[in-house]
Amino acid sequence: MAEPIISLSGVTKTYKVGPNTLNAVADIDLEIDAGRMVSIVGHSGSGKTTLLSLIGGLTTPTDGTVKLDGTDIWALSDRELSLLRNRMIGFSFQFASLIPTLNLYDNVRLPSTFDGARSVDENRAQELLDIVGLGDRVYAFPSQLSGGEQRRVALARTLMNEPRLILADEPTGDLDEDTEAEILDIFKKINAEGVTVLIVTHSRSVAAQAEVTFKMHKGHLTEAPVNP
Amino acid sequence: MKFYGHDFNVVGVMDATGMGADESVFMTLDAAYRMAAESQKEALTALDIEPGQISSVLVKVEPGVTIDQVAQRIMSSVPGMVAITANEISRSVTDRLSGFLRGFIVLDIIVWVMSLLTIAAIFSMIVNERRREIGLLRAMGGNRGYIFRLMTTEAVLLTAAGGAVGIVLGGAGLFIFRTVITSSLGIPYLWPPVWYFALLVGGTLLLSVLSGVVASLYPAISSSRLEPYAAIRQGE
Ligand SMILES: Nc1ncnc2c1ncn2[C@@H]1O[C@H](COP(=O)(O)OP(=O)(O)O)[C@@H](O)[C@H]1O
Ligand SMILES: [Mg+2]
Repeated sequence: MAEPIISLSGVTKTYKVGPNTLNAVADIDLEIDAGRMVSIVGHSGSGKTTLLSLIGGLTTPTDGTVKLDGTDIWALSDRELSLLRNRMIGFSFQFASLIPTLNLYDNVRLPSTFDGARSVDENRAQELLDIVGLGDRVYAFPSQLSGGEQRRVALARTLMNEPRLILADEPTGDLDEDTEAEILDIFKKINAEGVTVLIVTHSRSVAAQAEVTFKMHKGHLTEAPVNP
Repeated sequence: MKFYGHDFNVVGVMDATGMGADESVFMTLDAAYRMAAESQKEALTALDIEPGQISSVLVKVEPGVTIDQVAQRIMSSVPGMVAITANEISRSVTDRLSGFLRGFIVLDIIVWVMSLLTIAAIFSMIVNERRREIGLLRAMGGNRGYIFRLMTTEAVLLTAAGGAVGIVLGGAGLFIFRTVITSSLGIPYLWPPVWYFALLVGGTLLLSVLSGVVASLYPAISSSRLEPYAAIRQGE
């Protein structure tokens, strides 16, 4: 059997807040097979963002191991881990995450510039901006866009390096229903092409779009029934 | 060459010294008297110097006698004569200059250290403001070295540009105020040779680049060591 693309065992993240300690993520075991579309739903403060950051190697676990494709990511050097993030993972952040000093085109192609070994298709950024409906505004700057448009550009950037795993934090955060549906459609399309998609959200309706939904509560994970 | 209507042959030009002597013409005493005499009818303004008149005499003392002794002896034996010792003439220029230069160097070092601290402080602020961007770049695959290079490159570009502007402004200021500077110092001004200027410009640029590296070192290291998630979260 193939290795799960994501494999966490006993992962804990503890923060010191004054004299107290807080387990933002508490002893989580989780395996996700490649090609799935999975969601994690939970209240604000339940540890979703922390968990996603642990999976993407953006923060070190206090305890436990994080494996991607069977590789213990914290056994890698900073260089290797950075390259793995660059080649394998597309992050979609909770907040507007574009670089304000770069135009849309440069924002979208940014991930392709970190990997010297990569041969960059100069048309790809344009194509991705076309897909998210902003192909005619490649020279605009992020500040000239609405919140929803910025999210779409960020999504295009997430796809730039053809990631095999997408980690999306509240991807539909403050969007109107139509835009929310559009964004979710794009995720579904990407998933249909074989990309693993993990969405964390506080919205039950968004979570329900995935094949499998986990519930998160105070740092703990409980598997919910597979969505009907 | 004509002086007061009298033709002279220039036999040589002496090297510049930076002192008043640079504006002097050396000729024999006889020639000077002849020139003065002819100037009555040849020159536009006549020189009123009688043969035998002398305004000053340069005296070179023999080794073994002090300059002051000779000066004393001259003043006591020739009434109405004032002796000025060579030290007072030539040394006063170097004295004034070296005191001045020393003051400048101390000032320069103080200013330099202060600007280093200022640049470092400004850079720490810039880095703080950009934490989220740094975290994002890391999430997209930028490694620590990339962040470090990004920060130092930016600092070096800024300080090098600053150095270049400083050189142009400083040079222009020096050129525009050269007469004011020389007259207020009471020193004749000599432009240094071209290679010295080139060295000065090159050195200044190098120093400004170096300042950028040094000043941004700490912010660059600390920002490259930030955990991506922490950077993103703190930047919010
Ligand atoms: N860097 C940190 N320092 C202290 N506490 C933190 C830090 N990051 C997260 N937390 C705490 O951990 C808990 C989970 O946070 P988070 O993962 O952002 O939750 P969610 O994304 O589900 O809203 C919250 O109580 C939050 O305050
Ligand atoms: Mg969150």
